[in-house]
Amino acid sequence: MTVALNSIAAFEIAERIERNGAAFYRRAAEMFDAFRVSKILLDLAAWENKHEQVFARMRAQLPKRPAVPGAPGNEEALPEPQVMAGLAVFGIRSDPADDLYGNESEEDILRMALQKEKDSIVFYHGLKDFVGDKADKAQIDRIIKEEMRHVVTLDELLNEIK
Amino acid sequence: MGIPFNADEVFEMAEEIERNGGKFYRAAAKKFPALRKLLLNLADMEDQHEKTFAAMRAELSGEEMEPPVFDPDGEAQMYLRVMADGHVFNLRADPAEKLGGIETPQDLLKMAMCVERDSIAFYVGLKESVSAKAGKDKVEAIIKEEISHIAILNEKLEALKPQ
Repeated sequence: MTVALNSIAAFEIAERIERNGAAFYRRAAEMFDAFRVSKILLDLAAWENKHEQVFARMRAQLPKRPAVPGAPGNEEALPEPQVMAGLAVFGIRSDPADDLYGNESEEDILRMALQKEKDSIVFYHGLKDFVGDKADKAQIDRIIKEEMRHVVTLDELLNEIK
Repeated sequence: MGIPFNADEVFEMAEEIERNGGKFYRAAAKKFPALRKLLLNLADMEDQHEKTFAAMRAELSGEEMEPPVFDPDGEAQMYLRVMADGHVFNLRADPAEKLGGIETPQDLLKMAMCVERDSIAFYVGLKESVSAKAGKDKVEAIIKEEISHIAILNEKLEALKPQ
């Protein structure tokens, strides 16, 4: 069955996305011969850890009894539960670090990373609907932009190794 | 494909994404008759989005082209270029070819969700790069509809799971 998400659950998924992302990049960094590329991947991991902390702080500021999307009085304010449940599919994939067996090519790894970044961008765009405060929306927008920069960085690495 | 540094090219890419989406869903409807109605409905919605982007592009032509994009730091443009350069999207590939290795409705629905996700990832960058005048709200409305497509596909996928 689809899972109805409240705001706390949505932020927990965001944190998990970042945690998984950092684990993926650290594992990937071990698999590259070139020190420079490994260093970039470790930098990306550090970014994901920072994002996780930001989402955790935002979650801590949410009301203790989160509003449930679709509940009376919240229909306008929050996204439809089935809508975020759809996006959550991209957020709650298996731990991506477990998907790296050690025999993937460097190109495969970078392509997997690109998929992960797209998952993040799409989920966080939906996450913005869970926050009413403009400053919070702006904070999520900043994280989305940072994930966009990661896409550019990964693309540059892909071009380098080809 | 050249580097998309103006609104005309970016909106043209958006149209192509929607056109490819419509082709993908129509080809999928032929291959999976049990999902035909759902898939053709999604194809129709992609057609509608293509028309919206085409109308936005037409409005930007001529006098409106002067402020084509709002992207002071150029980062959204960089992102869009990367998204369109073939590593993320291959706009020249036949969308029906994607269905080659897809044998089950479940795998089709999962692939369709990824197609929708890729579109949204592009449009989030597009929204960042266009001004309010150029139709930021319209891009957001399309993003919301694409997100609703993911929800529809996910619900169908859940419904196909054994009870």
